[in-house]
Amino acid sequence: MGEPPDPLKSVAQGVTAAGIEWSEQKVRDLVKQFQNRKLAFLKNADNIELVKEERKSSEYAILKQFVPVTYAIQVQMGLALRRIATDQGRVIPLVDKIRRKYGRKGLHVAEITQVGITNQLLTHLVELYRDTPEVITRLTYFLDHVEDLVIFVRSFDKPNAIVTEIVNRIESLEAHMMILFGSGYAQNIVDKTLKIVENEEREYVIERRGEGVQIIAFIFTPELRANISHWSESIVPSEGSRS
Amino acid sequence: MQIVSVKDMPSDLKSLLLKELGLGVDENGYITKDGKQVLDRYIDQPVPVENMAIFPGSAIVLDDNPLSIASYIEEYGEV
Repeated sequence: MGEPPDPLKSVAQGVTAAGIEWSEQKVRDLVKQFQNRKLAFLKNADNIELVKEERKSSEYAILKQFVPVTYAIQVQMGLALRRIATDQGRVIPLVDKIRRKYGRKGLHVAEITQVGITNQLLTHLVELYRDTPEVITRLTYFLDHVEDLVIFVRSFDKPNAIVTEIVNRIESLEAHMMILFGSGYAQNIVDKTLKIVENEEREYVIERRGEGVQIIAFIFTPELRANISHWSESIVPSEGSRS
Repeated sequence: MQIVSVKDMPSDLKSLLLKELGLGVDENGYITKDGKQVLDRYIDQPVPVENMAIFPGSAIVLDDNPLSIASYIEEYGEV
């Protein structure tokens, strides 16, 4: 018979210490390695693996070049939420932590990243403007104004109230464009809202994108839509927001 | 850097680990230092021992969640 496996050796070779036979001596040995900055203690590897995976993704590699530092974690958490979307046991506490740390707006930045709007905007901006500072300015403007430009519809919202909100914002905001987002049961509310908007005399232009369990709708004033080829072109920072 | 999961570590050895790192646990199960609850610096919340993440340096104690870990990596670099 060979020597019994050395749990410490397996720790050094693996990501986690699964299967270790714990003892006082092992703890002390691990502490020595910890003091030499060779290891960290975590509950388990799930969260660190999740973070490391999304940081390695091609989507994050592009986003991090343009997303300002103030939104870096919120955007990363959006990508993390997408990866764990089917595991409500992990989604709910993470959403709660994002809301506590960054408020409702920060959560919404994470959510628009989760559903792909941030990446969609960035992709188009990069195609339109070769100038990196211009892309950063426009992306930052959008993230700064996410609460004005995006309505996150909830399952208990009243369609008529949302329509009033849309009309008020779309006519008063510089962008003359709104994004409506709903997932799960809220999709039904988004559908009902869009039907009412379609019947408005003003003849707003609606572009609807349903992806699985969510709907994203872009609503424009007719004058604006006639003059742009992509929704992101309506995101025009005023001179005051350029540094 | 190696990641050691303490999920299955017996509670008496968790106490030993914390003691070796100059930490403790209060009656509510939160990690303490010098008798005071340690707050996760990124979410400003006390850290339950069953959800602890401890990174080297000055034994940085965090809650094991994606937001805190991403914030740590953002500040200190990849682990």
